[in-house]
Amino acid sequence: MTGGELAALARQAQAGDSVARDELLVELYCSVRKHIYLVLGSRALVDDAVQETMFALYRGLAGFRGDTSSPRTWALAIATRVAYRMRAKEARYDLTEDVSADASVFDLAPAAAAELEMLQRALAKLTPKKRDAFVLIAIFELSAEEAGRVLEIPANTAASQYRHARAELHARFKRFDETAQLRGAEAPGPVES
Amino acid sequence: MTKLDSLIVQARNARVARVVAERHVRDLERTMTERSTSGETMGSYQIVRKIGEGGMGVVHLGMHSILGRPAAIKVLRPGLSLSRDILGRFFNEARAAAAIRHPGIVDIYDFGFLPDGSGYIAMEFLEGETLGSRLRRMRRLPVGASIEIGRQIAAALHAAHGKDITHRDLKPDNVFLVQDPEIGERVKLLDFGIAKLAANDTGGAQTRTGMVMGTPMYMSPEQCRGARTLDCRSDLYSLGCILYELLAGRPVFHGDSANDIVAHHMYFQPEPVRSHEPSVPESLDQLIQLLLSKDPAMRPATAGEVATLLERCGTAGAIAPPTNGEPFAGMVLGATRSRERQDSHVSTTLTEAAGAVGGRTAGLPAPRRSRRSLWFAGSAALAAAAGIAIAAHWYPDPQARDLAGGARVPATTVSPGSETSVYTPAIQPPPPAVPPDAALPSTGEPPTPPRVDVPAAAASPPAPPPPAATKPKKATTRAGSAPAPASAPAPPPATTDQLILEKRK
Repeated sequence: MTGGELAALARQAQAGDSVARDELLVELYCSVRKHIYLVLGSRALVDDAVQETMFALYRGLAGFRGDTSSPRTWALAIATRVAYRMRAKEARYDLTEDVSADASVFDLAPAAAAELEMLQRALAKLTPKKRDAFVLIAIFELSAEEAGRVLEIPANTAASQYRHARAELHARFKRFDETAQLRGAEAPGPVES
Repeated sequence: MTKLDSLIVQARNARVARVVAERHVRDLERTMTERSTSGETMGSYQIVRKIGEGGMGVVHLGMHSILGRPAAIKVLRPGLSLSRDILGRFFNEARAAAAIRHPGIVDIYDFGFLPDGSGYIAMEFLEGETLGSRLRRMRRLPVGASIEIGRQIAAALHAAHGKDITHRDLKPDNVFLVQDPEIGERVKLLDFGIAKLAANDTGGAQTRTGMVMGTPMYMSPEQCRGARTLDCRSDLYSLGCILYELLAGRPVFHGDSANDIVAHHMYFQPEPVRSHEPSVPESLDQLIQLLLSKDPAMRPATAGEVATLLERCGTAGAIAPPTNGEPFAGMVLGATRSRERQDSHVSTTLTEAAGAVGGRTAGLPAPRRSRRSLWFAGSAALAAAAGIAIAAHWYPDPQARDLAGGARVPATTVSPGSETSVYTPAIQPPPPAVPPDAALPSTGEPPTPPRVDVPAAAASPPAPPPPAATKPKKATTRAGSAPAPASAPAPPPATTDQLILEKRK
């Protein structure tokens, strides 16, 4: 669903249309769930964080102003703040051990789900700041400015966090590319299909 | 494409399964409501327990943390707090009720927003039962108790109307009965949720939504029609419906559907109450017929007038003197205003209006000694027998809700276009013509009836009363006849008062 469609739903919801409200919340839930899954290292806290974010969205919808951000960016900003609080909790209770990705809530074939879990585990190795910037810019396709607003940091800081994250992740997945290259050298032509 | 790039593309395209999202969103509201109740504080109130729940939200019993005073705290569902329209209507209740300040209207202590964004209203905590639940329990009430309840409703309405506030959703479920050490049982009007400050009457969304939500059982014909401007006489019609049901043990109109009932309100003349319950005094029946006039101009002009008239319609022989002269003055003024007559004689007015309804004339019983204390004792005993029910007011019974669901037809007749006013600010209405204290049901000294000498009017009818035996026949013709004031005055008018006197002889 496009940002324009989401904004229209938000306006309808604010006018009292509960169907539009629920539709909007379902859409935002999908984004929020994915975001929190990717940025929050600990699986134990994902459900809590999603719940908390949804409560905040639900309550905040009346005050949401469409002129400053799209509903999705707004939702991601709230999810980011909730995740930030959750990480503090995580540190306090030392829940970091429980880093077991679970992509089962996604509508994905098992192979694709495994890939997503792989990305999630790789993200968990980054510092939270880099992780946040990377997820917002690479996965949710926010501009550096938007990501900066969500993270409450300057746009160029967000951009540099993203670049660093990307470089680290790239290094982590380098061997996949090397293997592919090797395979490509041995047997030219399309490997897949 | 590098591995990282392909992972990114996959992650971009990954979507949470829709069923998961939908389930979560569905549970969201319930979870939030549950979360927000547990031993929390709302404003300056400590929540004791939940005492009611309905479509609009939850009612909690709260204790003021400093004063120790109990309060019923109505919390609008978080989802509904999103809509400014609904919020406006919700707070409108608080504003309207707070503006009136009358013992017959539930007291508002406080209202605002909870930290989670839900709107709330803290109001007087009432113990007792709604008139609706009493009706369901007892089917019908004794004449004396009905009159007293009707009188108190009218007095409270008079206070509201004096502030230019129309209730618009008057029904037995919005009338609460509480014990009062002084007068036995006290009526408290609830739920000014769709009330409107008349000065701001723009036919806005509040009316519209209100109509969708209201039960058509007690709606005035003009309300059924979707009239833009409703005045206090719409409430008087609803009061007539309530009185009818209290006395007859059945609603004014039955119908298979909400539409049916709406059509009846608009086009059908109700049967006389006496055809269901012969013990109802003729004068009371006539008053109810007046209240149920299709044309608002044919109804008594003010609630104060109705209160006074009800007071005089006591059970046979027990006719109370007016405890308060002011509503009476209002009645005369109102009658004069609404019919543009110089002759403000109450008896004449009543006669004419009654004639308009059914070709029958009516008079007023003369004020006599009150036997009201007996009714109070009676109703107090009833309430005691019922035990104390906790006030889970605010919500209509399931039946009414069903009706409300089907009541969309009248709502659609409201033409759209001017529905921009959402939030009605509590403006200070101009001072009422009648001093505010006039509306208080005083139990004090007998008043000096202003301007009009009613006993004289009742005692000197234009012609002698007809024999009582002819009455039932005429009752049937009255039920069917259309308003035809011109043909009315043929039979000599009989006042109830005289009938009572005759019976006594």
